[in-house]
Amino acid sequence: MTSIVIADDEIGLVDTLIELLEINKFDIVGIANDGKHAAELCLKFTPDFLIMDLSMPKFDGFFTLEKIQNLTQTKIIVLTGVIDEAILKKITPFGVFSLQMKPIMIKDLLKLLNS
Amino acid sequence: MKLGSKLIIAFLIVSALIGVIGMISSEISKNMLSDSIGNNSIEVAIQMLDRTDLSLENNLDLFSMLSKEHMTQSILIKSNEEFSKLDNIQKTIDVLDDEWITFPSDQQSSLMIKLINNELSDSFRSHQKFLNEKHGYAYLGEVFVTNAYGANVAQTGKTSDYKQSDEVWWQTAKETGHHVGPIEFDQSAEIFARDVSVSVLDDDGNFLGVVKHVINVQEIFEIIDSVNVLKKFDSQHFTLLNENNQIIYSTTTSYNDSMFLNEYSNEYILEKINKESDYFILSSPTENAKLVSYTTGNGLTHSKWTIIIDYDVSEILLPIENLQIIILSLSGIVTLFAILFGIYISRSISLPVLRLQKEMHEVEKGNFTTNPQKIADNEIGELSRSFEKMSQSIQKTVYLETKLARADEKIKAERFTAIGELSSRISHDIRNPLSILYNEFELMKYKNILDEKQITRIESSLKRISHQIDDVLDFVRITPLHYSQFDLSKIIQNAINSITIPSKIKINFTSDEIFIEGDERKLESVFINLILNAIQAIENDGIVEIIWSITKTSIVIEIKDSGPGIDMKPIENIFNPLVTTKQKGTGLGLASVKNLIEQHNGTISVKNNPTTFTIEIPKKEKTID
Repeated sequence: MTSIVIADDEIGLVDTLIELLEINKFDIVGIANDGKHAAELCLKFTPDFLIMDLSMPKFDGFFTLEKIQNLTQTKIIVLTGVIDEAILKKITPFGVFSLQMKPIMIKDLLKLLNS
Repeated sequence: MKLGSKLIIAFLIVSALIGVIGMISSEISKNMLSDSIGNNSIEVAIQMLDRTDLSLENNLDLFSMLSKEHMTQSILIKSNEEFSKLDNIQKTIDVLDDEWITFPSDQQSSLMIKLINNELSDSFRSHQKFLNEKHGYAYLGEVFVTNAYGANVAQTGKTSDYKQSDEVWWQTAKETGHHVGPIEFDQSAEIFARDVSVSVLDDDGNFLGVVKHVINVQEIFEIIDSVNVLKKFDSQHFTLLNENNQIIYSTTTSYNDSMFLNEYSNEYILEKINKESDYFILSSPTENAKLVSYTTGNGLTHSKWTIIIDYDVSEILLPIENLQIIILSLSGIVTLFAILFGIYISRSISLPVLRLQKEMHEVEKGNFTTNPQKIADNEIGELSRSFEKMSQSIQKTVYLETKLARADEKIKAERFTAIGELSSRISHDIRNPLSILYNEFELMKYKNILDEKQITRIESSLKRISHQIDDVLDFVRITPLHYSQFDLSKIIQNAINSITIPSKIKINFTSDEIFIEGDERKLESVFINLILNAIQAIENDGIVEIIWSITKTSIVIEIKDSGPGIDMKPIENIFNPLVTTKQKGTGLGLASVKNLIEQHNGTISVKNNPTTFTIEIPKKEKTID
């Protein structure tokens, strides 16, 4: 079963996402509300995917990206409310698996997770 | 023509007039002076001739008086009586004359001695002596007396012959009472002289004989010399000609005694002497121009003598010529001053005007930095000051307007930035709850809580919210394109499918594969926008038509609707942000469409009748068979 860690400070989004993914037979091994926690979970469980928001309180998504860089094989799907030039420039070196604008249609997310 | 040139020409005309008037008046003066000198000279010549006449008349009077002396009469009466007693008077006289002529010239015969030394001869010698002493030179050359038969009776010196009755002078004197001979060189006395003969009559008027006087003409020369001394011009000359135009006397420097009675050689002058008196200006090719006055005597005794007075024209007109030079130089100086003054005036006018003109050009170009120059205290200065004031007030206005415009722009830009930031924030903040709604909607679908209608309505609403947010973000943040190759017709079909189309509106689109390279999501947003606009433009029922074609270089897509058209002038303004003709909408839809097409290096245009949006995107497609 594909293991996933979800990191987002929006609780409702995390809950609905867990429910939807579990319906579709994915194993949610951890959830985090900030970047630091997300990094710890990734390093601890080395999931297949990390679905993560960029803007989170205290430690943002970039913190996570830096922490786990080159340490895990986890594929990272970034879901964010804003994609602009600055973010693109900053994120390109980390070689994330996919960068998606919120809201993402569940069928599109499943397509990514199954590829 | 420039002001300076005009002024200079005006001054030049004035100074030229001065010069011309000066020259004309001096020419008139020349003529008047020539007239005056010419006429004056005629007067002088007439007086000179009168004086020579007078001197001759005096001689005649004197000699007539002397001939009436008792001794002359009585001796002649006695001689005539003696001759009348001769048998053959003429023969006796001829014989004596022959002896007289043939007698050696250096000796004197007894008859000669008797005639030279008689009482009457002594008397004439005493007259002679008196007159010679009175005049200081040999005034009276010789005197001799003949009786009524023409034979010599008394003589002051030796004569050439004895018989005189065959001589013209003797016959004329006997008939008319007197005879005046031509002026000649007298060999015996070695003087220039003429003879003056008078007849001797008794108290009853009977002819007794003739007395002949040889008179030195020195007196006539002196008359001429006395006038010549008073002459005012060096080039003035007097020449006295006899009736045969032979020179009697001349004051020319080249004249000497040997030229006495030579022909007067100036033919040019002689040619013109054809009146009693006149003057003329003679321009000969070889000599200086001369003013010539002449008068020809018509007196009884001196008929046909001529006095010529001539001048070098250059000398008599010298004062006027000097005057002309002065006038010309004055005119030249005036001209020079005129030119300098003209230049000064024109510069003092045109320089400030030129400066003003230059400043005006600067102001025209929008350069208000005025040049603080010394401004003259005249009308032009006034003009400059007024202009400067005007330019300053324009500058102030322009400054204020610019400031206002900049402020306006700044406000606009700030407003845009604020709107941009706000929209960005809102759209960002909306995305999370929207994501939750999406997810909940998906969960509900899984749980089969909703019927088909509900699913459609919720899905359409969520998509509309999503599109609105995309529109705003696409406009306020130009995000880079995610290039991929795809079938454009599919994208268009997706766009059509994502829109809830009212039942009264029909969408015509023939789908066919059009492979294109570009940002799939963004191009979809473009078509969603345009199709939504088309639908909203149709008030009730109508058709939206999507036509596409491929040219060599690009793909052209036209979206037409049967709506009433866009009421906006110019119609291109519809692409400006925050511009809308609709009640709902952000006013950013078409602006972001234009941005997106331009990001694809394409163009979008719009026209009415029917309302048509035309998109042209350069071809990058790879056809996949």
